[in-house]
Amino acid sequence: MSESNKKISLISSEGEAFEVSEAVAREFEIVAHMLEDGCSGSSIPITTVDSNILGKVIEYCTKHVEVGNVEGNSEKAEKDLEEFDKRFIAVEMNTLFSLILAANYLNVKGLLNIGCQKVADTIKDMKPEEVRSIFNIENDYTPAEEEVVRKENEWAFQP
Amino acid sequence: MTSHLFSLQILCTFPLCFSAVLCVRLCVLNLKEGIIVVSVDTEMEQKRKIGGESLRNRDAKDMISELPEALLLQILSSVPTKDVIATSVLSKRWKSVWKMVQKLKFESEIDHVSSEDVYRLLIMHKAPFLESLHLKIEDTSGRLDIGILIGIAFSRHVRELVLDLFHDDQEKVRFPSGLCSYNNTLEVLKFKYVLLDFPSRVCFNALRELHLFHVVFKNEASVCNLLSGCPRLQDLVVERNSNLDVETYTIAVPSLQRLTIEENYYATELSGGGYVINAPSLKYLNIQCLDHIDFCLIENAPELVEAKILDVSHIPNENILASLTSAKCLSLHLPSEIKYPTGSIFFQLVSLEVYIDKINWWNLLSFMLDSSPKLQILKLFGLCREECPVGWEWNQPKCVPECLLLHLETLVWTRYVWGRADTKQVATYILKNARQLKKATLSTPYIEPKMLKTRREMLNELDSVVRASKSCHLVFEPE
Repeated sequence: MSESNKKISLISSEGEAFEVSEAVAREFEIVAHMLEDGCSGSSIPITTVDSNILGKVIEYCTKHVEVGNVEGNSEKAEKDLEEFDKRFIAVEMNTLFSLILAANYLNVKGLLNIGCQKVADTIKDMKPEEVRSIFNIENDYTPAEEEVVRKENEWAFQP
Repeated sequence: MTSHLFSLQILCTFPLCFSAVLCVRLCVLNLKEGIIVVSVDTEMEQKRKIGGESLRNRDAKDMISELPEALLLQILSSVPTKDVIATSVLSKRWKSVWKMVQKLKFESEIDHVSSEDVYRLLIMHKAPFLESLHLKIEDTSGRLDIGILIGIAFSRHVRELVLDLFHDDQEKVRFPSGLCSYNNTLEVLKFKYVLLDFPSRVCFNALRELHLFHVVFKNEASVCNLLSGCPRLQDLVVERNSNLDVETYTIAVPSLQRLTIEENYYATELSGGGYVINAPSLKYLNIQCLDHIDFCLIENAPELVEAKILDVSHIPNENILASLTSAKCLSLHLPSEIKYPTGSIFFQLVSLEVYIDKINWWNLLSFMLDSSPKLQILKLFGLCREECPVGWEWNQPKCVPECLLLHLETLVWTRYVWGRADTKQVATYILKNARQLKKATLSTPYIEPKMLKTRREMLNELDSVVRASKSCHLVFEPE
């Protein structure tokens, strides 16, 4: 069996096994490093990521490996991938943050970037009150304390 | 656990789906009391909120505040600076997060930020390194504080600095050259509309990329003192809207790999001067719109990979071809009085693009075919002139060039003028002699419907030419 056909099982925090090709597993830099360090086992526990999120991360990496393998017409492929990323990251907040944390832990840079960008785009042009509401941030300032912070950075709160 | 998570998701997303259909949205406004208010959203508000907003409720967690600081900073580095600073008021957790964000951008016209604001914010800012600082200051008084702002940025080891001091009818503001005597961290520097006066050599040891966009140099020595003080410079972009400041623009940078020069201004009686380029590591050269200069000398470019010399049709640029012989990829739109460097061979040239709108251009094509033994791709851009002007006749080469016999695989001719004798002769010659040709694509300009029949006949005639390559595919495309 050639190396590219080798299968690796990634085990989620619930103990569920996801079988993927080595190429897809290598998209997780943390796994790539383990493999390079001589870890030859065919199953790798990913203890901090649950099945739902692990499945999604694998879906993302599989798509990116597939597109990366197709030769020619790179412009169209790039556009398709952009569309895929856009759809992929349009999820509700809890999933989005779980994906960001998983991408950070597993070191999947592309996914981490689009996740962070999605959050950044949500914060952009929003008033603080709206940002609090969108992300469920509890305002623990007293009105007086809040006033001091607003005064200190006055420019940022002007229309 | 999965099922629990799933049900939580349904709980969160259900009101959103519901609202999408009925335009009614359930909002839990007061978190502590849990009061439920039913409100009808306008369509616009609906659109604005779409994008993953979960409704704030008892079960929804504040996940963003729990992120590790490094991730928060990564997120905030893609948010406009004004919104980043406004996060200070979200909660106590957020009070100082903005002070560690390493990318800051202030634009006085858009953000209504004064240089005093910028000064105060930079003083409060705590990140030991600034990844990027972008300053666009247009108000007159603010431009006077530039020295202080740049001083703070340099003391924070800024890696990328963009300074834009655009202002109508104002004398340009001088960059504080005293700060440039030693800098080990600046990697990218972009100047726009700044006066550069460097009486002595700068020292930008780490600088890799420099953009000089509509800057004014005090004198020729300032150009040299800047460029010679950047020992690691790889990428230089020069865009000028006047050459009154510097007549002989000398670019002598041993480390330079990419150079773009573009001029955009109308000729004046003071036009003249030119460029001397001495960049022995140069790989990519892009020169555009140099119409009003007297010379452009490229002294030494043995590593050249790709060169685009476009719209330099009016300068006596006679020796330019001899400087480009090591290129793999060339785009040429040259003046007609060009000198053909005898004995020069383009040994590496694989792809050639030529604009054919000058008298003598066939000579250029013949010369390039003869001198480029490995050419695989030939792209021609024609001009829509129906008749062949006097003196434009094509003289075919005495021997079939080596590239036609052995290498040329692709011909793309844009704006192929089907009715002209000379273009037909050239196309016929290439089809008859290019033994390895795989595909020839000719696109023809728009013509009157009544002429369609004539054109079809002409093209059929070309199609019937016996081709040297049996596998050659000839394609006609309307433009």
